[in-house]
Amino acid sequence: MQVSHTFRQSMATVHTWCGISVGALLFVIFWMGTLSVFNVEIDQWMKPELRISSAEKNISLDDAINKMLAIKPEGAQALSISPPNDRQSTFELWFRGGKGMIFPRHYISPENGEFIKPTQSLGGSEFLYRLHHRLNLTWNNMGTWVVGFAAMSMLLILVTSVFTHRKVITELFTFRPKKALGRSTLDLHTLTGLMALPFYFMVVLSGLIIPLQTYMPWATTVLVNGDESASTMALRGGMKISPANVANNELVSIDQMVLQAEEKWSKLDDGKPVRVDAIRVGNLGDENSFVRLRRIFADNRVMMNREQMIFDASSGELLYDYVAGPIVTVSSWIQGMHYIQYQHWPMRWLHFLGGLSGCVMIATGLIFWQRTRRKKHGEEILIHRIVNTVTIGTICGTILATGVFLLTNRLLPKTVEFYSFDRSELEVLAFYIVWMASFLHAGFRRKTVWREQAILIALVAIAAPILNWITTGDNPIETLHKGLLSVFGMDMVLILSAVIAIVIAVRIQRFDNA
Amino acid sequence: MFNELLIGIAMLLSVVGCGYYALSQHQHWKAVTKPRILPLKQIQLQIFSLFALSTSLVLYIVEEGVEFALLLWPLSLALGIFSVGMILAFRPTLLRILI
Repeated sequence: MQVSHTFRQSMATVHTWCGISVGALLFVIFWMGTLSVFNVEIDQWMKPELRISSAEKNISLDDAINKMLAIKPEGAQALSISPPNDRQSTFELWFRGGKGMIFPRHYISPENGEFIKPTQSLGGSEFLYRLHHRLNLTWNNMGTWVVGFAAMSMLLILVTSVFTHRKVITELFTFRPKKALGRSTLDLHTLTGLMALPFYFMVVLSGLIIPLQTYMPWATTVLVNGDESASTMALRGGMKISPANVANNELVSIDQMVLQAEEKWSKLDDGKPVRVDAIRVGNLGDENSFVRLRRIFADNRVMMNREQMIFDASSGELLYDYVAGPIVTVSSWIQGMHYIQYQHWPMRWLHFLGGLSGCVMIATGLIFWQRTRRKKHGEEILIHRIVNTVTIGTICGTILATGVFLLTNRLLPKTVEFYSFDRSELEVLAFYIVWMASFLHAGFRRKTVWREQAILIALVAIAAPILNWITTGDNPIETLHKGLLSVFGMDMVLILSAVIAIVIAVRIQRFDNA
Repeated sequence: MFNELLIGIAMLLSVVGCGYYALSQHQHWKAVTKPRILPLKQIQLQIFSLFALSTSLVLYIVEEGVEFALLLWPLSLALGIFSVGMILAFRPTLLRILI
């Protein structure tokens, strides 16, 4: 590789080689992150039993908790509750055991207090989202480290990109679709890269800050003699309450505690209505049982995790009252901006579109590099073939596998097992098989692979809403009529994706023929 | 409903502001207008752009508060840049409504 001499050339070299090295990984992270903006909506699409349009709440929090306590499993030490909200209409409850063990989630209808047994699926929250932030590699936090490395590289790519353009303002609005494919690809790369540059900086930097305790644990634990839980409490509030090992099943009304907390937090928020969104009953059945109330994701502000109250479960006495200080408030704004769980639909859609533009930027960057190399070296250069296969497998393969993940969810019967795989594992298996198949396809059929995979994406994207209609009776008109906007939105996005994939396939065909 | 309307206006102003800024660039101006149309001075177009974009920011701050405006404005700018880029690519004459 020839070393560049001018500053701009040096920056361009760093930009190019960083992009080629981690571009594929970045595409997967960006794609999954973009989908995670609508994780709850994807969950509702994949678990049709949770599609409840009516917001009528006939049962109290206490009723829901009592129903759960009646089925408390052996080894459960705490009960977590997520009350219904604008996006999720049901109570979501789950027990926790020792050493971070989490028991299966339960859902209770707020209308009649009945347990809802949803379709077994990891959905958006437990599969796509985890793929985004840790690539589903949990061993020694390896996935988090790999994502962190990719994010650092992305920051480098973004900074160097600023110096590689000669005419930033002119290039900002330039897209010439009728020019040669290489030219229009570079235009699209530059346009999508520059237009949302501040957004990319914000999401990448905040994505690095959120798991800071994993990347630099000693930065906070050194102040508390290496005690991780003390460090977490110093950062996010909380107090340690150990079990007394004396049985006591008394539990006063948690609804009253919630009212008290909401009243106080509303005063701190200029009288705006606030909502407790996370409740945990700790040390279950013990003399030292406690109730912790948090407002993790506020509806009407970006900041998250700012308030917390802890009550004695048997007396209702307030034990701990926490409001984050200024430094934590800044950190909580950065985190909230990345998680996007506030009730702001225009913002959620803008984040989604910003994420998609990031995907386009990464994809067009990889495609452009590959085309210029092909021109320069011809087809038989090994690195070109590798990058070509990885690029196609990453871009088309990830999108196709996501579509198949949704499709499998609608195709499989509600209860199914195959060898040792349960239903949710079969969905994940289908995802990975199709993903790998896409890489193999890209490796063997190099000439027509883009077009073929684009057609496959279109077929899968159109089949998913049709199967949703067949298996649940929810077609877009019906869902709109019932007020199930999450399902309607999912179907519409899938149909639109199919149209875009067809348009791309046709354009590729034209370029191949030209 | 009024809230959504104001946000919609703010977003539209972002697109308009980006449109004026693109028009202040010689090559985009040429693509949008016929040679016989006299070019507006570049500084005039940039002032229109600045006015539209700052009004959009003010609307976001008034309606959503600084906290949300800090996120909404850059994102709606991105939307504006993309929209104007696509208009210039496929139907550049549409931007004539701005002049």
